[in-house]
Parts: sequence; C-alpha cells; structure tokens
Amino acid sequence: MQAEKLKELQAKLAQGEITEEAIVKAKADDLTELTKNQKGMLVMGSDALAFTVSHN
Amino acid sequence: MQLHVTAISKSGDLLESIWLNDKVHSNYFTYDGNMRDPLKPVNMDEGVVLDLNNIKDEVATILLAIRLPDIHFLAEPKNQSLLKYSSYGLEYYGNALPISKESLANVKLEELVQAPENPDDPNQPTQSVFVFCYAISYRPEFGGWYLETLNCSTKGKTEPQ
Repeated sequence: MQAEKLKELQAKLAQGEITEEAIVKAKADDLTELTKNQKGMLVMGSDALAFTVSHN
Repeated sequence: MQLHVTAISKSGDLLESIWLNDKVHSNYFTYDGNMRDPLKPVNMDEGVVLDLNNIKDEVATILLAIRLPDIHFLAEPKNQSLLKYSSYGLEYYGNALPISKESLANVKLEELVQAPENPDDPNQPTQSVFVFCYAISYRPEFGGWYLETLNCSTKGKTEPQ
C-alpha cells in the first residue's frame, strides 16, 4: 500500500471515520502498520480467548 | 448487536469476514451463544471463541468488531437505556478472567447519526454503526499473539429497509 493511502487510513481511523469496508479490505501488513501505535499486550497463557458481548 | 470477525492471512488475503451467530459457521472460530452462567463470574451473553494455540497456521491477524443496528433508533433519548448496561470485551474462555471490557454506554451515538440524504423519503434507510474493538495479530518477533485495543466507532453504512 502506498504511504499516502496508509496515512489517509490512519487519519480516518483516528477520527473514527474509517468504514467497515475499508477495514475488511485492508491487508494484514497494512493493519499492523496502522495499529502499531496503539496500546497492546502479548497474549499469554494457553487458554483460548473469547470475544464477548453483553446485551444489557 | 452482532459479533463480527475477520481473519487475514500472512500474505494479506482476506480469509473470512463473517457475522457469527448460532446459525453461521466459521472455518476458524467457534460461537458460544450461552455464556452467561449465574454460578460463575460470567456476565456476558454470547461470544466468539478464539483458540489461538490451535488456530490454523494461515491466520495472521484477527479483527474483532460489533455492529449496532439502526443507530437512529438507539440514539433517541427514550431508547438510550437499551445500551446502558451493554458491553463488549475479551476474556480467557476457560475461566472467564477478563482481559478487557468496554461499556457501550461510552459510545456517543448522537455524534454518529448522519442526516438522511432524502429527508422527505418515507422509506428511510437504516444506519448501522461498526465498532472496531480489537486486533489480534501473530508477531513472530514477540513469539506470540499480540492484542491491540482499538475501540473505534465508525459511521458504518446505511442499508435499505
């Protein structure tokens, strides 16, 4: 991905304007670059994780 | 509220982009629609199980998101209580130990509502909001899976009624 395009995606992500389509079409390397400044952590342990929602 | 999972390969190909529920099967993840357990410290309703140690090798990045349907309805003051105690999160599946939990009451719905293109049209499209929650990527330099908390609300898209 071109640097300009990546910069544009980063700006949109920061402003909350990135679209669902842009996210699912983005490539893995681009996403790593896109999110590398976000706070992160190494997932430790052998248990599986669950992404969950509570409706109310 | 719907759970969305995207799996991306090492080479950047989209392997799967899927709304998971009890009727939709994923090639990489499993769905648990009955998580709430009054006898255990589990207060989430449904979830997607990510077995990172046994996931297929081709998966390099996982994006986790939720979709809030019909944001105009949810943003009305009389309806805002519907999401007051709603939340999303990430936890260890075996013991429900939380890693992250975010309340949806923090999503400023009124700021995400877009004015209709044709205000006079009686059949207005509905606007959904996509909340980009977490990215989990395999980082060889770290020797494991790396979790990033994103919590980005997007404007989503409009859909015909």
